[in-house]
Amino acid sequence: MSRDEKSAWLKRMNEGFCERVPHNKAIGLKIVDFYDDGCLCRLDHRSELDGSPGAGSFHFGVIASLLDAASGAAAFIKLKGKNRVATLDLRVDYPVASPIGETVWARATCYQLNEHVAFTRAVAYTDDEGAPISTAMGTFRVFRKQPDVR
Amino acid sequence: MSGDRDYTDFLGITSIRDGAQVWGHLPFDPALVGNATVKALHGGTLAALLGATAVLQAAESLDLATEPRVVSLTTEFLRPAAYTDTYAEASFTRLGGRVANARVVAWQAERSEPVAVANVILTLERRSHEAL
Repeated sequence: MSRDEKSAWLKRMNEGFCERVPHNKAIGLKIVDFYDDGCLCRLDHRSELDGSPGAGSFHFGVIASLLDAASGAAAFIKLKGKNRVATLDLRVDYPVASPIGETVWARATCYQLNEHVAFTRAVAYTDDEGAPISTAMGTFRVFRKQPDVR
Repeated sequence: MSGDRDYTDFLGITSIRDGAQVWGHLPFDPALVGNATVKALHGGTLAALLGATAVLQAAESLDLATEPRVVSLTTEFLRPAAYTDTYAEASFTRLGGRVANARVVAWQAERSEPVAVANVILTLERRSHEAL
């Protein structure tokens, strides 16, 4: 994929996943990079995303929103954008209490794709990807296009 | 941007009290939508409701020094959550001195048709040190 093709894809992904998904747009989620089986997303802190009023932290719920969106995007990317996906199950762990930062990054990977289910893992981090503030494991339903039934 | 709200306020989550039970309530808002094609709420907003309901119930039931902390949140999404209000109720499968395990159910029009369920692990800081 050429650099121009990649930036065109990234623009389309952001339109589809961020502009046209109201809650992703509401929190300000952006996809900043992608590859064959995953992507990197960013979320800048705003007071509405606080863990408690005025804390300056990221709430556990918005980290769940971020990791759900990033993991779904990873599955969609691995499917080359051909099939719709929906979350079946998402486990999110929070090793860090009240994580603080200007930006939280989420890197999500779709590590296995079956006929009807995609399997994902993801990390969220503020400074060091090796010391995540949160990790997630997900399974996603894959909606394969049905053959015509007569 | 004055810092008087947090993410649960941003989502519009409130609590409904019925005796010792606390329900989480997520009124429908267009900003909660995750998929406009199938008209479904965002999974993250449901996960947030389920986790927040476990926190609300623990804070209501126990004498805690600080707000319970969510350390793990596992959500199963059972059916698309429609453009309407969502409710959630938590029960504790185990309530320890330091750790609580909650099972939380979220539903919309029909309680018998949950849209999502979650297992939530909370850590607790109790005010009183009663033996458990």
